[in-house]
Amino acid sequence: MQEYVLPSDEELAAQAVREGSDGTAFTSLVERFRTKVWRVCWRLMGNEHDAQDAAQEVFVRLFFERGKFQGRSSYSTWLHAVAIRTCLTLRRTRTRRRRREDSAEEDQIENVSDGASEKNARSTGVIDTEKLLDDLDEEDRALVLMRFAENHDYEVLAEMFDMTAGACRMRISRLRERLAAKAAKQFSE
Amino acid sequence: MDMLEKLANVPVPPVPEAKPFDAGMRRKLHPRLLAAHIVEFAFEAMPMALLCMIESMCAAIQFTITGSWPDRGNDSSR
Repeated sequence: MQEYVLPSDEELAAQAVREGSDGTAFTSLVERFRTKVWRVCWRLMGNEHDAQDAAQEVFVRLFFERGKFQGRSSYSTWLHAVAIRTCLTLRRTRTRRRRREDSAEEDQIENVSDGASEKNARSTGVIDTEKLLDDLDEEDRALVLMRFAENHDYEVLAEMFDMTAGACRMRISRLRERLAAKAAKQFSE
Repeated sequence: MDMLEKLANVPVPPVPEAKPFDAGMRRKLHPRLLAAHIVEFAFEAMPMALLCMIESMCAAIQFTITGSWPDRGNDSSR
């Protein structure tokens, strides 16, 4: 009986480059990585609507950048990096747009409700991790989420964020300390 | 600090259905692909075609005036 061997990610990616259109190889890539890309997008975007939008955007970007994969890391890692970059860009754009759109009055309302939720959190002794993470720089937030929510190794994270493993370890350790201090402060207030 | 370790326990919602997801992706992809093709046509194919046409016209004018084709070096294909 003839055994059918599935092509590796790298082989499929090379096939998609040769194909030059959104044909079978590209469709297979989308199918193969849909779940992984979805996880990254959901973690970084924080809600299903934005995550779906971002995941589709990742595959559109993948289509245009599919020739840029040079094999310096695994294809999966490279695609994760594309997904992270896309999500960061979308989050930055949305934050800027939201800031522009928010009127002073809406700001006031938001401040009042934030204050209320903060008080609530304090009274119940619950630390809002999401809120703490939102105070971080977008890239730092992504790094923390990929490390702790998705459990990626430092070596893989270093490739995704284009830095050395040592620098990555150091940055995460500092972020962790910063978040711990913030959480302690929030808890004691 | 287990506050961050707990992030891994936050459940990820199921992946959206393949069909509408792919359809949405293609709705985003196709206009951009069309734009990319138009740009390529306008800035690469058209100038190239114009250049070739102008070159041929110049050669024809030169032939009309001098009776010889422009010297193209060792171009044996002509």
